Amino acid sequence: MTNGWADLQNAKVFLIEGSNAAENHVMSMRWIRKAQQKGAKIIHVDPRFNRTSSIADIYARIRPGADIAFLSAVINHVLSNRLYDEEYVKLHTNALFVANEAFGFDEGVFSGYDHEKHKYDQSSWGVQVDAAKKPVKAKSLDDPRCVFAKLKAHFARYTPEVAEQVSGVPARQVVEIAETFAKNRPGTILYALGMTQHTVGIQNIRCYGILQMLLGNIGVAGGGVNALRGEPNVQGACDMSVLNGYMFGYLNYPSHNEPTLKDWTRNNGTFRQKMTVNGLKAWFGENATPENDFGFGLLPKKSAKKDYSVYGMIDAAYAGTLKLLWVNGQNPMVTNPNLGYVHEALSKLDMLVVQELWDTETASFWQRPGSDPKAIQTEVLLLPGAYFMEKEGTISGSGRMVQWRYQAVKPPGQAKTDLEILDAVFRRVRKLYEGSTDPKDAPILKGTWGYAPGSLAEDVLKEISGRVLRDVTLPDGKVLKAGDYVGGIGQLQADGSTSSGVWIYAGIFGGGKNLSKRRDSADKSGIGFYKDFAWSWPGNMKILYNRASCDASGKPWPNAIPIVAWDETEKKWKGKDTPDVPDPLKGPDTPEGQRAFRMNAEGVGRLIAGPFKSYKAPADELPVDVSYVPKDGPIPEHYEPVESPVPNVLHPAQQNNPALKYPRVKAKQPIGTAKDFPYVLMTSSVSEHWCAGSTTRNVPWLNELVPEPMCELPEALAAKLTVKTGDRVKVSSARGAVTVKAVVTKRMQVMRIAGQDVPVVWMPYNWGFKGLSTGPSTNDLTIDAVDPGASTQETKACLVNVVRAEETVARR
Amino acid sequence: MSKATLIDTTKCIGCRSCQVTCKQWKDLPAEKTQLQPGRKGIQNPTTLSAKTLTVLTYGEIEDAKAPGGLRYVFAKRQCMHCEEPACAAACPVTALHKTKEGPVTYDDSKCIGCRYCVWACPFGIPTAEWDSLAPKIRKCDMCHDRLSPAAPDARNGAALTDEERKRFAAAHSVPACVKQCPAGALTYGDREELLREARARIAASPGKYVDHIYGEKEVGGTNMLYLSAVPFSELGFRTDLQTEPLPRRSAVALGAVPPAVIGVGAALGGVYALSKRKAEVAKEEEHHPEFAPVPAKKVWTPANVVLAALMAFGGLSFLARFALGLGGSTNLSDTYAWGLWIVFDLVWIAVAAGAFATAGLIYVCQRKDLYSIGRSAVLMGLLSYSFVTVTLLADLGLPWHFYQLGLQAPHHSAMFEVSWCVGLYVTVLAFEFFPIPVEKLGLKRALEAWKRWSPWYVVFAVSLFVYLMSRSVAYTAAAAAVFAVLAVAFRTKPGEKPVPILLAVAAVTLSTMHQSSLGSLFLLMPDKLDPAWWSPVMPVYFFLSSVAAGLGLVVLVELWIAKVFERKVRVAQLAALGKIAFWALLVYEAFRVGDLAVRGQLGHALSRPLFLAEVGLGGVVALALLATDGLRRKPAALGLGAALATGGIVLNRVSVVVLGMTLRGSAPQDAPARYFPSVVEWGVSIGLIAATIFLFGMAVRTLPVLPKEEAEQH
Repeated sequence: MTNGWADLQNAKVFLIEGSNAAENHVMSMRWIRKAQQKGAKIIHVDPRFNRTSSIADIYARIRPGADIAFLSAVINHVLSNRLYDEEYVKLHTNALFVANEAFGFDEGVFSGYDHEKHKYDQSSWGVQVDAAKKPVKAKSLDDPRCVFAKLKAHFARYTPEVAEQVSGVPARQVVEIAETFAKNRPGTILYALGMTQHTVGIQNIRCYGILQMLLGNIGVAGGGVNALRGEPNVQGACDMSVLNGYMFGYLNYPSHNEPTLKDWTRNNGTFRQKMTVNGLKAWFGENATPENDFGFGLLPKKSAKKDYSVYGMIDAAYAGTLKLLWVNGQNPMVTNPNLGYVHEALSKLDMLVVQELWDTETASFWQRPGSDPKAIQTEVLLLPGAYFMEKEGTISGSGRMVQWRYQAVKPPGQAKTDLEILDAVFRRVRKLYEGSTDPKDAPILKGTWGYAPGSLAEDVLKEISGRVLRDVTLPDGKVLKAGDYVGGIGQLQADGSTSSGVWIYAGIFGGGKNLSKRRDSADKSGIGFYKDFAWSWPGNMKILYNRASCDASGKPWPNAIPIVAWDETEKKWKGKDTPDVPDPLKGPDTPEGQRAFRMNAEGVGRLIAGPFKSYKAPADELPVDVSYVPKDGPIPEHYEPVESPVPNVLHPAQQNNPALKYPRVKAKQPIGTAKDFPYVLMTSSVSEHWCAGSTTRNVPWLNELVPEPMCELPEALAAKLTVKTGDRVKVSSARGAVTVKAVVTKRMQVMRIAGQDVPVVWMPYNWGFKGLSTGPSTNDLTIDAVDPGASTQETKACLVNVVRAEETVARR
Repeated sequence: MSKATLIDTTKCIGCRSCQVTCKQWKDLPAEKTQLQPGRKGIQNPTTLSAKTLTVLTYGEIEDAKAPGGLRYVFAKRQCMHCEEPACAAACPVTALHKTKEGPVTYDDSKCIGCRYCVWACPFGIPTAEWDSLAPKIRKCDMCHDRLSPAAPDARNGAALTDEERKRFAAAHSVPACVKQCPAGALTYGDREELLREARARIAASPGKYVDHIYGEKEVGGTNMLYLSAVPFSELGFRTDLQTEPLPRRSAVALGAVPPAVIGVGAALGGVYALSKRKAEVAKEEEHHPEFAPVPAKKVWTPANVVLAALMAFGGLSFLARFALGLGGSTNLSDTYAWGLWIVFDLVWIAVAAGAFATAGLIYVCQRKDLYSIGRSAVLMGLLSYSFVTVTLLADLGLPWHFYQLGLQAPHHSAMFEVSWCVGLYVTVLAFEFFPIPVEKLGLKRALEAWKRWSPWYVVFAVSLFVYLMSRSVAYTAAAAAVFAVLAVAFRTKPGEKPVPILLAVAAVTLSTMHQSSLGSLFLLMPDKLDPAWWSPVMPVYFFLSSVAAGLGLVVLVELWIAKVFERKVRVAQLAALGKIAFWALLVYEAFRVGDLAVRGQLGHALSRPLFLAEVGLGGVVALALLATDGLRRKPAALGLGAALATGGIVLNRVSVVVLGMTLRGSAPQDAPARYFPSVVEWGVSIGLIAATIFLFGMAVRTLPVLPKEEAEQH
């Protein structure tokens, strides 16, 4: 979330697309209701009329996988009707930057595409720079060379009629939504897995970024692009080092072609190098010195050619190159798509370690119905983990709020907390390597591991927050004493005199106090900031990019809720929120005072995302900052899901995402066609069960509410199949088949897409063969094609066939 | 100022947190469910039950004006907490209780398991634990137990300040569902304030809500208030409910009981004094037949063997009832909380009215010509009422809590009235029957004691009854005074032949009360009982009909005795009885039809075949058969007339309890269960009928119940 849960109350309009907030983020309703009470409008865009639709003012039914076509038309409407916030766009985005002359788009692909390798050379996507390596800026938005003009030209193809043809959202509704969203500001966007589980997931979200920047909705209270995270601590896990592409705090993990810190810095900039040094100091302590690149060399490097995502792991296991898999708090035998293939891959492992609360489908994958346990040689260890109420530690929510949770009860039996298990394993492994001089063992022997058994979690949090290692005198004269806890990111040093395990969390233990334990629930801000309740990263900031809520002079935009401003008398940025500026003492008259998007090298929001490096001085070898560029394009473009019932009407020659590689394993990843599988299947969770259902399907109260999986069918399709609610239907895809009960509902509809009927059906994915409530796994059907950048699977759209199940199944 | 919960269904998001948190707070088990076929789909469980005190319903309503052309509507169902709840009015032991704070609460320890509350509730809320051997009633109590939570002293090791403790208490002293609701659909507070809030919401958003606050006026108002965007009927709510509180009518009827006891007692005393005087003036020759056991015939006749077998079946059924529990042995459910046994009781009490009717005729009205049938009528009454009690024992879920009837003081509960009245009447019947075995055994002193003390027992019993019904010392004293005066005035003077006049007065008085109160039982249910049967004057028509049915049965029993014991039909007495039965039936039917006509329901009633059968065959035809002395003297005509009269009234009771009822089942009242009595239910009822017949036959053989056959009889 750029903003936070409680900030939702400040929005005047909500665009909820790719999220069923009312069912899957039920608590969001507390704040949405507050906004509604003040007159806020809710727009819900979803293929399925669900409980979120029931509270919306506008509901638009969209075909799964057609979001970019729809959103591009909304963006086009905003652009062509001048509904954008011109001042904001000029000041806080790269709209005026002059685009690279070579930039182009033709027949569905952007310039630089390699048709053989399905890869882009991104260099033409950037902007023109002057001798000082600064972007060349146009005078006005009408300059045809500027980014804004290119953007306009790109989206001009997306008329409401084209959007209707592709997405099924009626053209007049596209306009109505664009008008409603653009004319009620601030407006916020809520999304979840409905937007990300596509082969165009990143570009879906790019649409949101562009739309919100055009409308001046980023950095303001009641605005933002807000990802509703699905798991209690998925935010925290990502903040640490759990995403395969990142180290701590979203710093790129080094690959084999970055053997030294300098190599890495060339690609990531000196700003991030400082954060990396602080992280390495936390990891390797005394063993991290300027001489040894602060231990950078101790980090094992990724191969730039390998895929380290969960799909890469499954492929590697299937290929026999991955021997041992340690699954912690995940149940891929329910939640991964193409489960038949996952099962085969796991069957080839030498050993599988599952750290879990329950005996899950993954832990007992060898018992999967239809498989022969005797043929599976994998050794499986099930380590009993502890539930969140059985351990202490922090949980980071979607709004980046880090909250300490206390242990309510002790874990039962032999169960241990994840931290205890990891601690025990690491200590044992290190003992085994004791005395080794082999360089590859050095990271294990040289890492710091000073956590006391009685305070494991808090000791880790202290390390994450960071310490002063040598006395430091700050530019303002303040002296940090060795041994102190660092107070924030601003105090981190590049020379190894401070450490911070996860730089964005720097200061959570500031002053030696665990700020995540704070519980002052009084709303002193009056707008839901609750600054003294727990702590939000970075620096207890509630709204990211909040500098953008002000104009060039540092005054809040008219009509915006004031949250930060430049105080001319005190000569500092201040306000209800922590100002999101590089240095609170550097005013609007300095370059630092104008970097509303300071985490981009450009310092502004990027309507078109091309490569860019910023330098302190033009002659510098190393950049200060380097911007991330999506692999599959600088601007969103509509591509069909891998399995789609219709051709891509925009460019029939380029049906799918050009950067996509699928199938990766031809024999195991068949692609179904509309001839055999005429219906579109979308999947999601239900309100009453969570994710793999490992926990919730062991709660009888929840099983009572939703006792079994189902398939929701539109009435017209059900009539054709002569199926009533409660009848059994067999749903099949190119990858598998399941039999579940049908729910015939007006909430699902047969859609009209480009002149043809497209029936859409829905299934929840929460079931498997273990637990108190068992049922077929929907992911037997789904496709494991993934987004090229995020490696998120396309579980929101694939093709299936549905027939009445003729075999009689005993009713429970 | 009572507390209430406002449920704004337009704000509900269907998450069912309320359902789960309710189970959590109340520690209720999950039900085994499946995806529901048909319209319900993902709604689960389908209805409230003892394991589910609140349930959310889902509805999909097409509406072109709604976003997406569809309204996906959710409605939480639970106890409505009526301002004047029918369940609490029904409860004979105050287990269900309307608190001044608003919630209607339930006390396990008081409940006898009669399930009258389940039957009475218009919303289908109270449910029984059918799978328990000790089935309690379960329903939402608006988390009455949360109203004053104890705040903890510390949180996470840090002591709480007084302010924090106060805040904690305020945040938690709301029902669990309200606390949990993430969407702001539930608001808890003062009822009047919530009504204002609801009106304000309707006014603030024209067109958003239907202009109706459900619960503001329904059955006199409830402490659950609802707002909706669609008409409440589309949410599946009952929109046919009256605005008058349901207990009003029965309260009036039951409030009349204490003065009625005194009045009826006094009037009967007056009638007796007058008729006695008349008899003395007329110097009627006392006609005192002698009673004797019927000469012993073989006991194990084929009929008796069959009866014994049926009794054994009944005995086993009775054991099975307790071994398997109420739910395990019967087909009763929350829809049919009452079944065969209650039908059986109501019918039996009505037809057993012959005992009090003959006692009244013989002693109070001094119809000495009927004296010879007095003993058999009393025996029939005693057996019938005893077995009614046995049936009740089987029917009660928690019969071992019966003593609560003596400890609690419910306000105007018909069930309480009937329980006590029937109980005391059984003792009066026992007193009435007492001389018969005593005479046989020749226990003179016992007979003397009976003569002396039975009137004073009556004074005690009636006074106790009046006290329990009124809780008023004045009424009790008045009743004690009136009956004591009667006891003294009508005491057996030395040398006089003892006349059990006080027992007869008590029999008539108590029967008048409970026969009518059985009708009052159903005054709570105008929402379920067809208007062809429901009437505000049901107590009166129940009483009147019981007289006709009772006399009809006495005629039938006499005819049966004559047949099986090969005795002469006493035509004169039976014709006389038939004449009285005719008049009783005529009065009843006239009253019944007149009442329907006055209420404008006659046309409706005539469209109901059951009513036509009841009043056509049981009324018109029976009256025709009993109309003339000539016909009454023909045993076949008399028997048929009596059978039709009794049968019509039996049909009336069956219609009132089951056939004329619209039962909707537990909330959301859209999945009523069907009912056919189980083997055990049939077993107990049939066994007890067999026992009545068998024991009657045995008594006739061994005790001086029937008059000696007189040679000179013609």
